Amino acid sequence: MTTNAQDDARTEKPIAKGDLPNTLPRPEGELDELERIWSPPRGFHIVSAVNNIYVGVWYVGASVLFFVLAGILALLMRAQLAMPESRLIGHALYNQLFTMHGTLMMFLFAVPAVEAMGVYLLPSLQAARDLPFPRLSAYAFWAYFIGGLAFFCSLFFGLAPDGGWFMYPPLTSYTFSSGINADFWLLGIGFIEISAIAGAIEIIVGVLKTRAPGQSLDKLPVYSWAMLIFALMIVFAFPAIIVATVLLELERAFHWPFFLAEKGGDPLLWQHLFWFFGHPEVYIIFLPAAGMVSMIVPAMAQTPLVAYRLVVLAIIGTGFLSFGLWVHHMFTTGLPALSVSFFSAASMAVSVPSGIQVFAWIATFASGTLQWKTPSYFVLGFLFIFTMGGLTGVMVAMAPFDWQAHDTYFIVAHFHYVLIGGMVFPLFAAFYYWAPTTSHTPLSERLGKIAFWLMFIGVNITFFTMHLTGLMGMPRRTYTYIAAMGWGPLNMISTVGAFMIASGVLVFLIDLAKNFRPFRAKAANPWNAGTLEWLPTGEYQTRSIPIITSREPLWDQPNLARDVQEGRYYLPGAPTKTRETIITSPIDARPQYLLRMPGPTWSTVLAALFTAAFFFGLTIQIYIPAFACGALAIACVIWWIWDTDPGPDVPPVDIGGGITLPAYVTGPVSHSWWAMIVLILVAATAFACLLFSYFFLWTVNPQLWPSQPASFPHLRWPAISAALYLLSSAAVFAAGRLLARVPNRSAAPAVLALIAAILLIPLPVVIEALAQQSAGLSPSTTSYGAITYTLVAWQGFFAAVLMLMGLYTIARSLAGRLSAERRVTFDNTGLFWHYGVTQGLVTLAIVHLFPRILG
Amino acid sequence: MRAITALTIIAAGATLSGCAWILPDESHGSRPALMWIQSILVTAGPTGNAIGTLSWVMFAGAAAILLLVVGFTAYAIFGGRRTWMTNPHFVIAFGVAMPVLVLSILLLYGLSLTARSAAREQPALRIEVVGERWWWRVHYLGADGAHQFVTANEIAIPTGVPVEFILKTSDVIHSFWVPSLAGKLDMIPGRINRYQFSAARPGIYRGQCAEYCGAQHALMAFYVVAMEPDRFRTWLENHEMPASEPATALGTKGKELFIAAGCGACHTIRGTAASGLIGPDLTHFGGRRSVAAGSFPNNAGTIAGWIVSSQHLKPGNLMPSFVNLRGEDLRAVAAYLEGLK
Amino acid sequence: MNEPGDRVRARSRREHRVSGGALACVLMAVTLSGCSDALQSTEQHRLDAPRTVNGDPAKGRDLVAAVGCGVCHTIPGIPGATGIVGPPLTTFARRTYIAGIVPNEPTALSAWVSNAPSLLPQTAMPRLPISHDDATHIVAFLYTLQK
Repeated sequence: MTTNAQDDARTEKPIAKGDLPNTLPRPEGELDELERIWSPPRGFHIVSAVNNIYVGVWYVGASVLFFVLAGILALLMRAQLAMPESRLIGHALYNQLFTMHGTLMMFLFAVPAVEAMGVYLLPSLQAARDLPFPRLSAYAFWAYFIGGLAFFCSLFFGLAPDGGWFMYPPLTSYTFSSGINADFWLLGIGFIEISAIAGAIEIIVGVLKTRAPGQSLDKLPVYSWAMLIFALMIVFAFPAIIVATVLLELERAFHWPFFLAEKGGDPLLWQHLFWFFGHPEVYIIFLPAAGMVSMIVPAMAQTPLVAYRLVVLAIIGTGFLSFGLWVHHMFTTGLPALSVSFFSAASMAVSVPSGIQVFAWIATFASGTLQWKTPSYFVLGFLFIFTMGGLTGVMVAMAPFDWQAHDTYFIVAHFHYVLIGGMVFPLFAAFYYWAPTTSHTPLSERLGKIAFWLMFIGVNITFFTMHLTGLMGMPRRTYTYIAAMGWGPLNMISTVGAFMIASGVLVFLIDLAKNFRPFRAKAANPWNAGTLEWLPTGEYQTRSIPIITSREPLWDQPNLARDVQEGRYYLPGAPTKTRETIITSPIDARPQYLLRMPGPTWSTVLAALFTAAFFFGLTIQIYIPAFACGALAIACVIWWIWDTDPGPDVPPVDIGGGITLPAYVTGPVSHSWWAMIVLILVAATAFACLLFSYFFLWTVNPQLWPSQPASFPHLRWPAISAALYLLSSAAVFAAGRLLARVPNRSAAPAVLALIAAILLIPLPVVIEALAQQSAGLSPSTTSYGAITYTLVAWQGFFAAVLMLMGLYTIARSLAGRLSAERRVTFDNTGLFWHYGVTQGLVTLAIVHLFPRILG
Repeated sequence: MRAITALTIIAAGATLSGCAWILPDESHGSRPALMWIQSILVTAGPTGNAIGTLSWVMFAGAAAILLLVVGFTAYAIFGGRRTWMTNPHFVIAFGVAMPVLVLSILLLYGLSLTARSAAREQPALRIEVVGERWWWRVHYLGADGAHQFVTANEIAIPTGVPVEFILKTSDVIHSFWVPSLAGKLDMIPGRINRYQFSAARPGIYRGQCAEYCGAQHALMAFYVVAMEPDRFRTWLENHEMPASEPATALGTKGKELFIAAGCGACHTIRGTAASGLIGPDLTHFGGRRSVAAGSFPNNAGTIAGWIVSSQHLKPGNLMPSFVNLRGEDLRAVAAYLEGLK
Repeated sequence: MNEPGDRVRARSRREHRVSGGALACVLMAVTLSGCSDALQSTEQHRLDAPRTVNGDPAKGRDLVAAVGCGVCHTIPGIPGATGIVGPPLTTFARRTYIAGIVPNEPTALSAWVSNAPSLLPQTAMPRLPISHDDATHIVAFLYTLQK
């Protein structure tokens, strides 16, 4: 088994300048072989491709599709509002339109678009051949694309959600939204959450572990930094919305009261959970876009970014601060003045990091000479619009002003300035800037500038006017307004502006249709940019993986492009005859091992299809087909991961420069271990959100928590449960020790230990449920019962997942794919097992001890 | 600041902050008759005024900062010698120091305003407002906090004294908002929010629900009518009384039809058999300015139209369209309701 | 959609045709049944000629909006005037009869607008708080509704 110490020893060799790792000429056929190995399948089977350049472009394309669709919904709304008291669109459709517009733009355009750009760009920015889990990216894309389309189609059946993208209960609970429209929202975004988290895990491990040698953290492109923080924010923010949607769906489906005041719930619980996700969400969207701008500005100004360290600090600071702001969406709920003041101050503080970035870009402009090309236009447009949005943001951070502006068109204006300025314009700049990395013709400068002016003027006409409409008192989310209010002319102006924006987007689409030809030989480096994505590439991304000594290697390392292309750097071929990339250490990017990656597969596409079918089956209440699809989805996932733990069947590989890397590692060096740790962080955050819900409901209605010891289950039950948990953990631990003797001795003892663990893990959940039931607790009578059973059910879900993982591990063992050396699968199962047991023990402690402490 | 506000309003050509959909003889030439009576910038009470002033300070500051950023950007791109702009000190000075300074000052200002808004005096009047889908139930409370009488969609208050609003909801979340007088505060199931503000001068101020509450959220408005204390006392005395008897034969017929048609199952008219609690109290309905929670002006015509086509005018509201009345009977009911001053 | 509302509304239309406008229907039928195309066009010609009305149509329009006539009538040019209670006022300038009982001319219309029951006691249209001058403006506006 490989250890850290060995790794460090192996990579101790200093990276020498001028002394390239590999010599010329390269062996005949090396490049052809590399090209062949990385080529995606042709014809219809291209769908099964997993290369990040393919998946990334499709992913971006899908997000643009949803941008256009959501934009069309916005145009319909603007048409309705152009005239007062218009009867063009009834209230029923209008309410669906604004709900879907917000939901699509946030969940199906903005987050996927920036994630997609990350999938597409990160490997080439870091000279990796692909992201560490190509099939996971493919799954994230297909789940999003298939599920998103199906979700959108709910509009055509009048089944689209109509409770607003924020879905505040009790309006969205079973009493006031009895149709399945709200379920479409809840289950519909379930897979989007899955997709976002899958992408985030991929990006965290990708940024930290697949870099060009020498690309230490202080040389990491700002965009990589932004994506790292972006993905970490998803890890900590999305679990809150997952928990919120689970709770609301439980309330809707089984009448477990979490948000119903008459049964001890509280509508504000939803608001806290939603905005704990929802506010970081804004920065989740903005940070990657700001990262893009920090790449585009230096290239367009032909000079390194000024104050790189400050900008990186600003990105990290934004990440932290954004989790302390969510209450500013709730200033009008009647919170105590103290907490209003605290969150008001925090909301203002978050504008400082943005200020740093804005002035760093201005300073960069000052130190260089701007190329007047379309990306520059969009970046300058972004600066103006985003600054406007930031300034109105400071205004609404002032609680007294927010009491007036909240939920008026002033807010609509504000966040459209922030999101269009902060995300859409950088994204369009990015489209024009990076299109040449995949398309053999760049996008048109002429059409690009026309698109820019239409969009820039259109945005200001539409949304500047909305500030005034809001100041004149027009609330949001209203399908009509009284003519006598005098808001008609302003609304008409906004509508005209909206159609202008649409025409700008149309020009962009025409440009795409005319010029964008992805996956072809790319144009040269048209902007003379300095970063690695402008190295020559093929299907394999980078012919050889360079050593980096600068933040802008193409500017500072002479002949880099030529040497890379000729194969003079690391890993010029495919020594193990499979797809490979170099895994590097997270801080200083020293090569650690060679990652062998799986190739194209239909399994991810089918897994995504069945996942979407599972969720939609549940939504439209066809349970048997739904669960069948769920089972098929799991089967496809197993098919997909079956090949991903190849084992140490290949000897260490010489990648050049005297560096020999193992082709298989286990333990904390492994990318797989990192991914599991991130997954556990996601699970732990979700669990923390559940505990928050438990304590929040208690503070609202402490009288519902039992005070008589007689009404609790006897303590022997949790004691037995705890013992069973510990036993199962011990069994897994023992299995690990027994596995160390395989294949020298039989694998049977390890398998038996695992079977014991699998049999033990569900028992505490069953005991707990029965104990609560026999103590007379009902999940649908009070919020106490509801949240207690939810904790139990949550643990039940984990027990089920652990059993599945255990069975999978046993299957690997029976197939001879598990041994002392080849044990990544087991290690992951073990890690998650111990986490699950810990979570179970904490659950027991809270459920049984907390009410007793109170009593 | 007050001067700027005034100038803006004049510039906008609307000095109409005192009028509503008033009856025709008062409304010549003022087409957008309700313009500026629901505005954040045209305020008529200390709380609203203070926020109005804050708004203008922030608009001016924001405009200055926007100009600064645009100016710097233009200078960075087109300017000649600009080495002072190209080092991290520039970024620290304008990206860190300037925002911290400006925001600290603003924050202090904002916090003092927040604290002042949170301050409570002994209110001269307590009014409980309950959000309903999609209208407002208004209870006037006595000194002991007990309900004195109930009305709907229009709140009369005396000028110059603090009034406390006790905000509740009977269904989903609503938000109580009268921009001319103060900011908004949500009505949340299971919670009671209290809000205190006053009107400095007599006038009619429009409020509207500011939290999305379902199908007809757009048509959920109300009026606050601020009057001199003397006039308010008269108003109060009038509203404490049961409904007046109809003055005309048509009205008397209308009253009989109102009871016979079963309107009393949902509506209360004090002094009659009608005692329903589902819909708005109609005891003094004729004196209100609007029908259907600020949706239409109030006169015999709109009342009649609302009764027979309420589901066309505000689809989804709880009142069915009453289509079984003959024309003259409908007129009679409308005349009766219009007469309930 | 709200089905009860729809049903109610549909019933409202039907009943209206039967009861509320019964007299109007009879009169209309009598008047129009014998009309040939030629006759109709002469009639049209007479009605299309501008009527001498002292009122200001713009003021009348504002008044129609302020009174809320649109709650019951569909009126071109008035936002939200999509009422289904009374007859639509589209092409009202070319309408031959007011409510099917009196010829459509300014004095009668002025009286009808402010006090419909005085001309037709069975009408559902109530007496409205509209002064004589205002009624003149409203009449002027209604006569702009040519198409």
